Amino acid sequence: MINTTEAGLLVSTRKGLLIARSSGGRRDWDWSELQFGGWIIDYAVRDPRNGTIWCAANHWQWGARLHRSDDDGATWSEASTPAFSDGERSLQGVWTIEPGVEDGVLYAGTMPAALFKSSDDGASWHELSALTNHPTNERWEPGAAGLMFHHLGVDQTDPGRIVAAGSATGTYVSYDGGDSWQQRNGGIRADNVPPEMQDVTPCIHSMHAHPRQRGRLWQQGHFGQYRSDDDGEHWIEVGRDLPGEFGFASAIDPNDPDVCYYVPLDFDQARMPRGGALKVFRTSDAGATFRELSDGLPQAGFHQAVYRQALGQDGADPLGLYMGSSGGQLFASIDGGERWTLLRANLAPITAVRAWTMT
Amino acid sequence: MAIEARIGRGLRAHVDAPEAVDVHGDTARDAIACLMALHPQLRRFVLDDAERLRPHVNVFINDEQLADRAALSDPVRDGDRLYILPAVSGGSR
Repeated sequence: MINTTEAGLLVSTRKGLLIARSSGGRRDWDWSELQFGGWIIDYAVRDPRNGTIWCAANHWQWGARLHRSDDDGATWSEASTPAFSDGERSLQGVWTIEPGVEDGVLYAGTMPAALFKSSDDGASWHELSALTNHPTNERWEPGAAGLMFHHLGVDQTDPGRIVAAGSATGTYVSYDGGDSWQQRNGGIRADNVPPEMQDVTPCIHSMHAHPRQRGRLWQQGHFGQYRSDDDGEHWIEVGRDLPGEFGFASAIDPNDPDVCYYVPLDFDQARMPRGGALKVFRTSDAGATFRELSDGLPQAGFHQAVYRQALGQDGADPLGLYMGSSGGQLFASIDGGERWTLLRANLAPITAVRAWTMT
Repeated sequence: MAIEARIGRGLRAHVDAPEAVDVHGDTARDAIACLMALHPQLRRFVLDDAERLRPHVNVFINDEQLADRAALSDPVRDGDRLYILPAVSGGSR
């Protein structure tokens, strides 16, 4: 059982960032004022190594940039932001930030699709261009939100192993710290291309590399939910019985590699919960079966989506789950999804939710 | 004499900068470069990674919108006003 005395939440919205803290067993939360009001927060995350909070802010007029806080969000400073140096591409957004293994190492997935690395705790960034220049990049195709890498798996036991997934780039894995990459999309359906091209560059909506089982990946794709046991060389579709192959968000339980949570949406021509009922599904047996988790969630008239980064988990046991909607509602469960409560409503569309507990 | 660069209220809401700054140059590019040298905190708000004008930033020379947004070659002369203003476009998110 992980100590959940202290817990924190970062709720990124299209109009700013909210930070919440709980010292009461995750039942009562103290909320910050809105930070970066008016800015689109593409992603915010806490680095568990040093407590630094990274906030990727964006503005339609003034561009994207990173901010950091070293005092739990009390004060912020603008940080160095990944920048392209080829005189052509320009940063349109930072979609994910992942801590590395070595001190000071951070990775950032961006739009346009690229992966940046910092070795000095974000003071400077350089592009891992072997990924950008992969010979398959001519097949990359922007999704509705653009062309980006939005999920990274950084192996905390092997600094060389990195898994990167994006829209619509498919999945890539590196075993040498990003110097070279292998495309890993075997078995993924892609109804947007001819049968001969099924595993070329599928659109991945969210992807997680499990920290306790090397090779175990989970993903919500544009066309189905998948598990892999070999770093994506082969993907197994696990969600055929779920109410919708589409969806954006997924979450793993870091304590159990056989657990994954999905929020299915009806197919890609609808992109909302089937029947207006918001349901989360959990598998606890590596995708063989799923349990519906809808107690406390709206079961009629719910026409919102849950975006790709908007299902967060806090790593505790029992697992805390925090789910933000495109209509600005934030739901929470502190028992692995069995029972949900509405934490906040009337927020701007929620782009990302990340959570932590103090151990 | 100088060119008066005027920073729009919408931009000054996000970054500490004066409303008006005297700058010098023969083209809009020179004048903007001069402004960025005097107030480097404005650079990433106005220009992207490739030093291009951000798409939703409007630049006017007096009452004329900048003609050459790519190379910023529009001529300027002493006594002109160079306005840097947020466009009304782009706020759909």
